[in-house]
Amino acid sequence: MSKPQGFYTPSRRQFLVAGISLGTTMLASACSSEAPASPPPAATSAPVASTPAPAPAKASSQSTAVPAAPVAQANASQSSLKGTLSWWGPVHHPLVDTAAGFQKHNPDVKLDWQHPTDWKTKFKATLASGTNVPDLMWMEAFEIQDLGSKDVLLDLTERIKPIKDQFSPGKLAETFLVKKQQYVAMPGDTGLVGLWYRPDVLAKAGLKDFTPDLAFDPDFLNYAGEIHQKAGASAFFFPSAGYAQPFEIFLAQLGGSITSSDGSQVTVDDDKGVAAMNLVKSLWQTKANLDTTFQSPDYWGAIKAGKLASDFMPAWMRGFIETEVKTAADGAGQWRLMPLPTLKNGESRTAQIGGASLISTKFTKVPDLVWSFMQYSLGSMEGCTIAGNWGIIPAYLPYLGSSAFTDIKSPLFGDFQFAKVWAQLAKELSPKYARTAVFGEADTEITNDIMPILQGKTTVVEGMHTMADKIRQANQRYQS
Amino acid sequence: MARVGSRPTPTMATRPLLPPIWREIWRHRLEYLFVSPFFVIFGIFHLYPLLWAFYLSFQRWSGFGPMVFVGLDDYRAVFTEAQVQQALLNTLIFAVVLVPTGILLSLTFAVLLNRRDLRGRGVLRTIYFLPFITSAVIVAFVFQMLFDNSYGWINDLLKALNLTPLKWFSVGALAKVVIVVLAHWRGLGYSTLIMLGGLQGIAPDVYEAAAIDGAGRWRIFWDVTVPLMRPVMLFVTVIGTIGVLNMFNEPFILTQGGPGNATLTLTLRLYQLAFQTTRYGDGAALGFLIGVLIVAITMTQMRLLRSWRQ
Repeated sequence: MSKPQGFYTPSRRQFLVAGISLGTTMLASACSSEAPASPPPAATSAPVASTPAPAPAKASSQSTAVPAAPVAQANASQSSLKGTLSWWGPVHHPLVDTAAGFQKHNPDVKLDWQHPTDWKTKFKATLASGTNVPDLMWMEAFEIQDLGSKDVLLDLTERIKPIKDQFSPGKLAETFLVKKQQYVAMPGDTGLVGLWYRPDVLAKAGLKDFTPDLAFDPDFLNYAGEIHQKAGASAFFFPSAGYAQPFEIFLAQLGGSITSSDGSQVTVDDDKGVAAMNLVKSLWQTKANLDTTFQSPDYWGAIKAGKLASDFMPAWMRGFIETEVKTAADGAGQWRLMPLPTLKNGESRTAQIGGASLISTKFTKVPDLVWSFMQYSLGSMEGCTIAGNWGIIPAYLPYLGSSAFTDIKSPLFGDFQFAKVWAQLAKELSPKYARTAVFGEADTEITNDIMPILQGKTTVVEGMHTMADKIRQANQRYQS
Repeated sequence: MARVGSRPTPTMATRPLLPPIWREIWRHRLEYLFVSPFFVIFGIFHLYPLLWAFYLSFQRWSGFGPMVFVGLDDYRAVFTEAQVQQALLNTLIFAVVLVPTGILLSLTFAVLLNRRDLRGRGVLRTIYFLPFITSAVIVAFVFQMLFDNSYGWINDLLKALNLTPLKWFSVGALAKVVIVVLAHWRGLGYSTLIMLGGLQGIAPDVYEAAAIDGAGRWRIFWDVTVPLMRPVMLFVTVIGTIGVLNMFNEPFILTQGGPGNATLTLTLRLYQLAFQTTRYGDGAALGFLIGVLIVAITMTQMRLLRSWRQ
């Protein structure tokens, strides 16, 4: 085939030079860390709590255009703050909403909100290199303790100290490094636990509504047995493959902890730990557990069918349940909330499951801007109102005591003022329950080792010691 | 046409001191340039991480901060860890169960799919292969619904047959059964495809000759098909064993290693060590131990099977 006239044919050398240049350019582009120029807008209405529980996989590698602030502050005072703030997290998150409010007050601040998949792994990679570290991250309590002990978090001690009385003590304690006497996070979502229940399911089984002074033993245990026998419903969720949360809840209620507050001692098998496990065993023996996989189709099916009459659930479950329970037939408007049943020698009627806080790192170049954002989002009425409307419970007490919080309504609870219960419980959250660096591994050990104890294959005391020894071994790695 | 880059270049004359190998490389520099992308990519994304992971396996490091040289401590820690020992036992159990049954089932399916009188062969082959390319998330949902302790369809079936429902995800042995079922469901399509390729490579004359000699179907299968399929079966065995020793997806999406570590596999434990507890040194050490184990088992297997083939 002949070449067409006028067709330019590059020499081999020119071809190679062009190829190498193109390859170099592509490599340089791929290695560049610039954010996409035109971030796609994101929907932000559905509340999905930040929790250690498996959240719906909605994250993608994209960035979010900050939406309009839901709070009417058209003529809000504007500051002179300038700079760029970056944050990595899920697409659906309260900080996406509070960012909009913050932006109104600070129009000269550029907010670079990114939603990479597995952002926590990538975040740790940036910490390793010390470059391109996001200014803000939403981290669980035990992760804060772990990172804080490694000296990579921004020290907020001098900023938090003057205002520390404004936060729930139980949540504030989780942002404090005992060994270093430092605050390294802004108290964020209070993962308060309460007793969620369905009076309509109780009534169908011929059972009376719970009284405010409901005792775990015998009231709740008797009810659990009866609801199971009379209505074929479950009184609590507990997969028979093993589950750590009921133990952790009872332990917190009794004023115990998995470790000492500085993380140096594992205390899970002390008297309070053994007492907590005995409570779990008595609960298990009612056989009134919902035995399925957490948040599986069968789990939601049971909730919608009224087969779960009650459960010890954290506040952030509201967002998850609201997305599943849409109609009255599914139980919308029927749910009620109350403090956890009282325990003999118990110190509190609540506990914490999940619930993250906001951190920055020592690599940030804009610590003042970081603090301004933290204070706005989780330490101001306006920011907390936005975050609270999204679905979390900020630890900021002035907000929790205000009608902006207590008047929140949910289709799940109908006219019932559920937020008043959370406001009451936030004050009595025990600061003694420490979720230190080893907590993640401890949670796995408890899940793995709890069933032989509950099934009587080992005594509670022996089983607890065996479990604690494994946690002690793991904990050694976190002692620097 | 002259071979590209084969002509002597003037620069060669200016480099008389180069050793012969470098002279040869210089003479074929264009060819090397064209094959270099593979080596560059291999070096950056495979060799460098491998060497770095080996270095890491002698350090204590949680992802940031200074690394601390600990010698063989990471290997010692991994060797003595109860979870790793349990994971090794589980992995070997899975290998012993999955590999032989996988060979048997895939050979059976391949023989059936190879029948000329089978209607809709193409459709059936596609159906068998579909699980291999189905999203793991969907598979997890489906299997959870199938085997759920309280509301699972398998338990509904057992109840309909007046049998006692089983706690599939709560009893270690039963959870292993679920993992085996899932692994077969996902993997059989691939090994069946390979077996089918092997079967179609056998010349029809051999079968005809056997039939003329009076051999029946079973006799032909055992004395013709199986011996001729030995190289393919050897390949599937080795690939299958390596796959099972690296098994991660099935327990990860279904049981997370539970109940009580009954379905914890070596690679799942590696993932937990490195990415959940950020014990990167331990994770790297376990990775190399798994590598050594795979090489040892594969070599033993190849020797045994080679003698069987001969």
